[in-house]
Amino acid sequence: MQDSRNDALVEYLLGCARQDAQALDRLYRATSAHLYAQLLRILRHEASAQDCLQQVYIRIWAAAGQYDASRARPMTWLGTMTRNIAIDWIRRQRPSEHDSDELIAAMPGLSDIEADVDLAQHSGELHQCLAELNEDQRRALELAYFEGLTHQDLANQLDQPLGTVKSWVRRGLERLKTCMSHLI
Amino acid sequence: MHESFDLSDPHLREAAAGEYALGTLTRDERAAFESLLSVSHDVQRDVERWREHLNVFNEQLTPIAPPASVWKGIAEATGTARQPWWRRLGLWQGMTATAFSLALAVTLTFSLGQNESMESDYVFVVSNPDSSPGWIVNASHSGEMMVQAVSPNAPAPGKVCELWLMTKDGEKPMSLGILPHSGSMKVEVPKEYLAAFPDSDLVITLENPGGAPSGKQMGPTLKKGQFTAVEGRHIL
Repeated sequence: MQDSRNDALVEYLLGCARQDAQALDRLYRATSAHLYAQLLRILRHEASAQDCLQQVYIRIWAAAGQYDASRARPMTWLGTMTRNIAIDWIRRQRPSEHDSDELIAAMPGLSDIEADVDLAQHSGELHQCLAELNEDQRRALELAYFEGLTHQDLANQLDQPLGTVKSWVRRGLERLKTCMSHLI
Repeated sequence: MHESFDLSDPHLREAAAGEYALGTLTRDERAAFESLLSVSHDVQRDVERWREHLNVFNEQLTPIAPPASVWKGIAEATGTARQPWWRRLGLWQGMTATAFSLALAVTLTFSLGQNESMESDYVFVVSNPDSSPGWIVNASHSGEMMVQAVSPNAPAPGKVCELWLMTKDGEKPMSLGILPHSGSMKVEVPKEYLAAFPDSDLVITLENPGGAPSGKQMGPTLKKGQFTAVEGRHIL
């Protein structure tokens, strides 16, 4: 089932590379709800997520020729592109290079409580490999992954020494890799 | 760089690939890692594997359907929107000569508009408050800019929408003109703004007819955003 879905997505991406409008339409139908959920999780603001979702598919249309099925599954490629666009969007909203919590909190749009979305989006069952992480490790990895935080940003946000946070990240990554490698 | 960031040790290098894919490295660490990444296929494979592992964070999210207006904007911006019936030439077959002449005139008129299209290196979709696309702004590296009205909401009576380029170097905003309510308009970015314009903010303000007399007396901001590069170089 998963393989046939992958194959279909690869076909759509190849179609986009040939500038086939129907392939873009099908790719959008098959993937937009996943990428929109990802953008909402990162940006926490509906209008910004919708703007970024448009950017994602405009870039897919322009860059689908670069997709190499031997190097990444389609959803990983699309998810990575989506994450990069969203984190780039967050960074461009920052008035300076200093990545402090105060600046992130003050970003226009992100503090718009009215449009804030429910973050409790986790599907019922946590992926078994995420369940292998302890709470600190999972929190550190999720914050880094969805909010684009560096080690130092994480230490500031979690109010923990830098060394502690680095250890959570590294050990969390090791556990994740070990578990995921067994699944393949 | 922290003591365990040693790219000569295979185990630590593989761990650094995970932190690179996760995005937690400092700027210096990232730069050092990328110099290795650019030449090592093994390191590229490590990063690809880590991206697959980390995608598990996305897989746990419950899908949420975006509003229909998002697709409309994408279809317009990529030129894949379904064409209206009067632009599908096949429909003209079998018509009378008079009707065909009329059709040709309509098609030619439309084509004249289409000929204004240009190669686009950057795109910015100006959304209406309901997220439907109002205008699409395309720009080339050379500073050619094309603003196309898609379905902009009408501004308040007696008001117009003005597009501004806000450079980050503290220079005063540069007006790119009044946004058209229909059709398209071309704008040339002045040479002195060429290097900075792709990374500059674009702002749309509500103004009296004629626009704001200077960048210091702008009306209320309706929309703010940035160009998206449509080339692949920034994608992954």
